[in-house]
Amino acid sequence: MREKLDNREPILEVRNVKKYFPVSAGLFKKPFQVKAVDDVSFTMYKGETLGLVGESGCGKSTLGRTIVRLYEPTDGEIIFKGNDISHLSSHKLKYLRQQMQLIFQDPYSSLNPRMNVNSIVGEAMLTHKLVKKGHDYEDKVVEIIEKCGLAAYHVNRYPHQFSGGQRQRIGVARALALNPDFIVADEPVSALDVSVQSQVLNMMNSLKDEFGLSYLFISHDLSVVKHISDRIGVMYLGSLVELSGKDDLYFNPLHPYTKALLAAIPEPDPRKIKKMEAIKGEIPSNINTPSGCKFHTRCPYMKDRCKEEVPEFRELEKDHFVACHFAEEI
Amino acid sequence: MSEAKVDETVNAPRLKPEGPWKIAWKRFKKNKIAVVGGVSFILIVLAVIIVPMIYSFNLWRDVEGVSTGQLIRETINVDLRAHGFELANSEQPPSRENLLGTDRQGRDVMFRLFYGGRISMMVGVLSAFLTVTLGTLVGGVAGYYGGKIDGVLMRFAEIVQSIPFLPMMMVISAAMRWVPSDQTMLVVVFVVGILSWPGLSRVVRGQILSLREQEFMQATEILGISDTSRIVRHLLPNVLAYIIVSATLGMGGAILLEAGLSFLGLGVTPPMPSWGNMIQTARNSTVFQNYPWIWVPPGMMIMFTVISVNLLGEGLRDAFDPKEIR
Amino acid sequence: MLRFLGKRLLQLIPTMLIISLLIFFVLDLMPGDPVQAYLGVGSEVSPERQDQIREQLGLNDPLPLQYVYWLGRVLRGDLGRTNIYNAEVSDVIFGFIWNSFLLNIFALIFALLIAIPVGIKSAVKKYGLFDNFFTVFSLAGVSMPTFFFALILIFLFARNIDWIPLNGMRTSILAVRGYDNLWHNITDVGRHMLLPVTVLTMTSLATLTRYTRNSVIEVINQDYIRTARSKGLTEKVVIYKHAFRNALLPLITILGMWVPALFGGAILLETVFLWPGIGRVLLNGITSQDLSLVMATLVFYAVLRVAGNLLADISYGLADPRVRVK
Repeated sequence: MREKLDNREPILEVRNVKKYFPVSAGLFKKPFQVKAVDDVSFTMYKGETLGLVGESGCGKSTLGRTIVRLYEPTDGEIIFKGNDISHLSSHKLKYLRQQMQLIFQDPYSSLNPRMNVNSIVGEAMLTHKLVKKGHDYEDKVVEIIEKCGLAAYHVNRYPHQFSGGQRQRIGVARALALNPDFIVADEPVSALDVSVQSQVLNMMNSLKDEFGLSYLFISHDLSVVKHISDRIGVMYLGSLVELSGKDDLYFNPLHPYTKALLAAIPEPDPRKIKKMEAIKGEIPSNINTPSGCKFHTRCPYMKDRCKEEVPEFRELEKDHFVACHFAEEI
Repeated sequence: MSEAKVDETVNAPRLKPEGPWKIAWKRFKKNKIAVVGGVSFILIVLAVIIVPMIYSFNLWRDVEGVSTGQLIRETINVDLRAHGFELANSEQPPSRENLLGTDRQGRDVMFRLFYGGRISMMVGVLSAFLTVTLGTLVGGVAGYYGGKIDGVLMRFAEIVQSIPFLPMMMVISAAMRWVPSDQTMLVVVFVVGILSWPGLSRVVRGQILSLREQEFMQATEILGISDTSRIVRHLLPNVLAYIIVSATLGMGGAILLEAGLSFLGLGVTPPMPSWGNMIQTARNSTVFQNYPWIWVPPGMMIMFTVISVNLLGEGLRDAFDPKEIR
Repeated sequence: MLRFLGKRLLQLIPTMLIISLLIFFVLDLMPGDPVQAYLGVGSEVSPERQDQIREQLGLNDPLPLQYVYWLGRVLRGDLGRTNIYNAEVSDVIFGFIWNSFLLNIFALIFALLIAIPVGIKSAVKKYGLFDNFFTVFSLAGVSMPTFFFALILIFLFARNIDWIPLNGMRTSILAVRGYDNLWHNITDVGRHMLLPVTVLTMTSLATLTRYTRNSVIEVINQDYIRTARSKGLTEKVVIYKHAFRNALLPLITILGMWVPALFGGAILLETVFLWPGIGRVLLNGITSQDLSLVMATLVFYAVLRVAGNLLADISYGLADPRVRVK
């Protein structure tokens, strides 16, 4: 793993990206801003799976969608394969679409109920002129869905005739149809039963090897992320608080929030007695975020400086980033 | 090849692909009452087309030396004036010759009933068509583009919806009195159509708004699918169900409106028959009291037709979107 | 809440303005010479005098200017003068609406008295004989042209019972001669109301029973009703104490909308029964081409409709506070 990291090629660079949503407060008041993503920066490398974890509302989904330009960033830059795509027009984006795709969370609403698998997976191929209508089209579709664990005879069926896990496979096949290099997977297994989850995850892994993909894997489930990621980033209330290699994160978490999250994972082995510590307090609102370090309201190590100054996201150890003033001491 | 295997027991190859349309059709077929409605509607349509043709055919006495082709053409071109104005034969009760008797101008009532049926039903179909077109266009554009366009269009719909239906229709029809009898039905279609669309536009807009946020629509955006494709291939098919139901039920309403307007003298004007203006004859007390065969049958026909259409429409609605409450 | 109300009221103004514009311009298209109407039909007047009158009536002004003058007059309460009734239009309108109101209010009360228990019973014994019967009844009621039903009713009663009058509001001789006492007055009008109110009640019943039934069903399916039952309360208490109150709520919303409509005449019914209500006034105005009368009546109907929509919005706002936040 270390060796892979040394000769790696960046595929995505996220620089100080912000995504705010205005919410109207009434007829005559200025709209509030929901700071969904608040100054996030990181780099992703070719061939890696970067896991992005955090609780609901921390902005991971929004970040993922902003990266694929479903939203336009309010501020900051997104550099994909060396090109700044932050504010490209929709016309120029079309070419980009082939190279980066998104897998959705909900298998029930992410597929058009009125289209069969053939159309769902193949439609984009036609739009981008990768195939022409006719035999070629269906053959290519069958090829892809078979790689995703479906059978050729599934091609004419409709979404409601499949189980949740199979629908997610269709979603993956659809994302793969354009042969992208980079895929953002937004909680792709969160809606599935646990037994199915591992099947889909394994499929995603082998696809990654076969096609040389890079994944941004978003999830709220730490155990899932542990299974599939090379590196993991932790988000809290719109900001990235820690980013490191997988093992590093689990054995040497530096940010108080990460520590608390890890401590909260139930330990199945009865011999390992773990003290479960609840994180104090509740998640603050996205509109009136706390000043300084956003976690200061719940942090057991909070000092005055945390209330005033926003901590810098710095590389404390090799490839291990933290946003905390006192990370060295904790 | 992926390591994860497919669950064979769930999806054996013999399971046939079944789109949502097919499912709805199956559900519809199970609903006996709806099927009755549908069948009787089709029967009425057929009757209204064929019966006048039968009359036209019978009237053709001189068959010598006429080719079949011409016979057929003559049958299809039903001549309204071919019947009646035999004043000697006027006001006759039903008999073997005139199955429903004759009216005050000596015209065969049965013939006028079914020829008028063509008119009334055409008004129904065309108005529904006009309403659906306008409603879908306005609602669709408003829902898809949102923002200012949505605001303006919905205000416009609100204003049209605030116009009092029947009074306005009466006035507009009266203003267009100069239109010749055989074209008055178009006036009715126009008037009913332009006042009935706001309801549908609201439904279409609502449906599009909720669809837009569904993840599969976001997927089409990420896949780079063009705007037109998104509207036509993704949004529209999902709205189509509502449109079809609305059109069917709207047809019933249009037929009733035409009847009302014609009854007041402001819809289809004689000599062109329509179910409404045949009932209008009842405003004359002689006709009302003594010749019920003139004005009762059209009323019954309206009732049967509208009931069929409503059964059909409700059945379609249940087939597309089954709910607990029926 | 007040802000919501204020906002809606403000929105009324442009709506009414646009509608009044529409009415004005549509009526401009109506055939009929205002000068002739002013003088009375059949009067012979020299062309110079006609021009004088034309100038006097402001008919030579450009159309937009005429509209502004007209609007000014309307807002001041001057609705013009009608010739067919030979009185001020405002007097005519406000005189006749009470006749329409009489019919409507009684029909509404009877319909409610019947619809609520029927609706509840239908809901409780869903799909039972009672429910199915009324389902068919509602369907027939909605599909039948009301004026036709009225005609049939009159036809059936024409020969049989002497003391049920077939049309009009009062027995003509008595109206002219005067009544002996108030009771006599009331019974005379009452008898004349029997048939029209019956028809009107049936029509409203068809929709009201359906609405109540569905509303009660929806409430019954709620979890809190199940809780009440599992607490061991008798079915009667469950229905009347818990379900009933909550099911009434949407009904009240609808009723709010209907209140302004009570003042509008059912045009078709009034025509059939020769009932002197505002609906007939409109029709007479149109057929006699009495423009000022028609314009004022149309505006009146528009006001009623807009008021109804406003009341509907308010009741939705009261019921569901989320609506107000917009």
